[in-house]
Amino acid sequence: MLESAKKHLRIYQKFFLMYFKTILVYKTDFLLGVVNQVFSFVSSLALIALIFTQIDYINGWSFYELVIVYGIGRMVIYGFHLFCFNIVFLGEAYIINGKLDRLFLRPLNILFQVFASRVNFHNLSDILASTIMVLYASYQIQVSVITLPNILYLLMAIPSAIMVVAAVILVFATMGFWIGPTKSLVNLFWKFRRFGRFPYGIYSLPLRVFFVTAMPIMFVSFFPASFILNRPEWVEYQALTLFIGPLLFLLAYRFWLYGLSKYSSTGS
Amino acid sequence: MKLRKYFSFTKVGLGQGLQYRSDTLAGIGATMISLVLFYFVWKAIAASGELATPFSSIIAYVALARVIDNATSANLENWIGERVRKGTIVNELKKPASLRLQLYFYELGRSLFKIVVRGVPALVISILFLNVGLPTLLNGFLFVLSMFLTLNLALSLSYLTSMLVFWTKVGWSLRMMRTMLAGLFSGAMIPLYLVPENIRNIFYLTPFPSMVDAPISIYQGTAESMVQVFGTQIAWIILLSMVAELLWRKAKTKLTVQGG
Repeated sequence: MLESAKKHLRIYQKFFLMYFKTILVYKTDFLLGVVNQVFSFVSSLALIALIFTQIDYINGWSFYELVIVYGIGRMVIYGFHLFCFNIVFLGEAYIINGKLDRLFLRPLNILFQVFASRVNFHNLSDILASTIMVLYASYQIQVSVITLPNILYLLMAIPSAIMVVAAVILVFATMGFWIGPTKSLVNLFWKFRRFGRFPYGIYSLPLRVFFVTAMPIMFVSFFPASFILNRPEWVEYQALTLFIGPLLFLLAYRFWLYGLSKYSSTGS
Repeated sequence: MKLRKYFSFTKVGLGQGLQYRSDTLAGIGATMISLVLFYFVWKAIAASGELATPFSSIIAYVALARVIDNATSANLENWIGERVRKGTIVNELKKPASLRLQLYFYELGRSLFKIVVRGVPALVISILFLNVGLPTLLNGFLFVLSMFLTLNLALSLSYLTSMLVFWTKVGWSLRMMRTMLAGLFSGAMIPLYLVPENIRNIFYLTPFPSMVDAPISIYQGTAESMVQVFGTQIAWIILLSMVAELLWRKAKTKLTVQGG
């Protein structure tokens, strides 16, 4: 077990370096990715700022608090982009276009290969920018983010939240084995996620249930942020955030293995 | 190529919606869901302070904005981006038909399909539940006209951004930036009358308000001058098309120089 992990780690390093070299070649792609992210960053902040020219609180949450929710969400999403983005293409590029077959030939875990084949380096700047934004916003409202409990919590909550995103996308991608192109489903997820920038409390009960189960976006930004913003009313969810990622990813991974077994057995 | 023959592209565009069923269903789902979610978001915002108008007016605007925005989204960047990247764009140029007209009629078909499956149900729901209300007969007719102009404007804008793909080689990032900018400036995300006046005036310098805010003002009868609204829409269509044409000519020379 340990040997397998070490082997995978060494091979990940090689993939990592290989992919890094490609961005040096495709410089325009890289730059464009960065410009794009700056754009999305600024326009999302602009929207929140514009709304807050008219009011001071949404459901008891102030501007800077929501900026922190947004920032933490970005850190999670771009963490996902950084390491796991390739599974977004599982439906189209791999399953339908047959790229998947090649991966069977190698003595490596297939999903691992998919993850390792793409590292979105241009998202590192986003993660940095989001961290700075969270720190700045917390400074504005005199909430200290850099405390030991907060750091420990985020070190566990953020990877868990990344796994939540990976789990959802993996499930959608696995459905590609049966229903064909799943790009539109994945896009649905990104559309929903935008609404995780607003306080959990504004949504009706059915929606709240939806946002912690089928589309667990609230674990991506709202609940982790509520911990560092000292909001005790969500303490059960804050704790749940730490475990939900590995749990959901395990379930998604089982589903993926099931789909994979069906795929290879149809004799492609 | 005769104009009538271009309508075959419209038929293909219409057919796309029926063919890619999961895309279509996801599109309808996204439209409905965004209506519901925007409802809750703006309900919370309106509950938090004294806004310029009561919640019922705000949600009417927001609902109409979602209907219009979802029904008129054009996406030529991916199509062109893929062909530029693969180099197959030259094949399109070799055809005896004008690429531009081909794309226009094709997108027209796709958009008409979207209006029927996404726009109409969403509008009905908005009228029934979200206080959108019915326009006067005249305003209703003018609204349809304005929507047609919005469609053309959205197409021109998408076409313009697509021309930039010849230089950037990637379609999706340009499309994302265009969508984000348009979403913010057009009224699709926040009603423009809630935006502070000095910022709003900057928005009005761009084509985006003419895409969502303009048809809403026709529907609700709040436009100061219908003529001005239509005139602005048409002016932007012409301007964007001209710039796109200029870029297209530059791109063509670039392609031929590279030995396409």
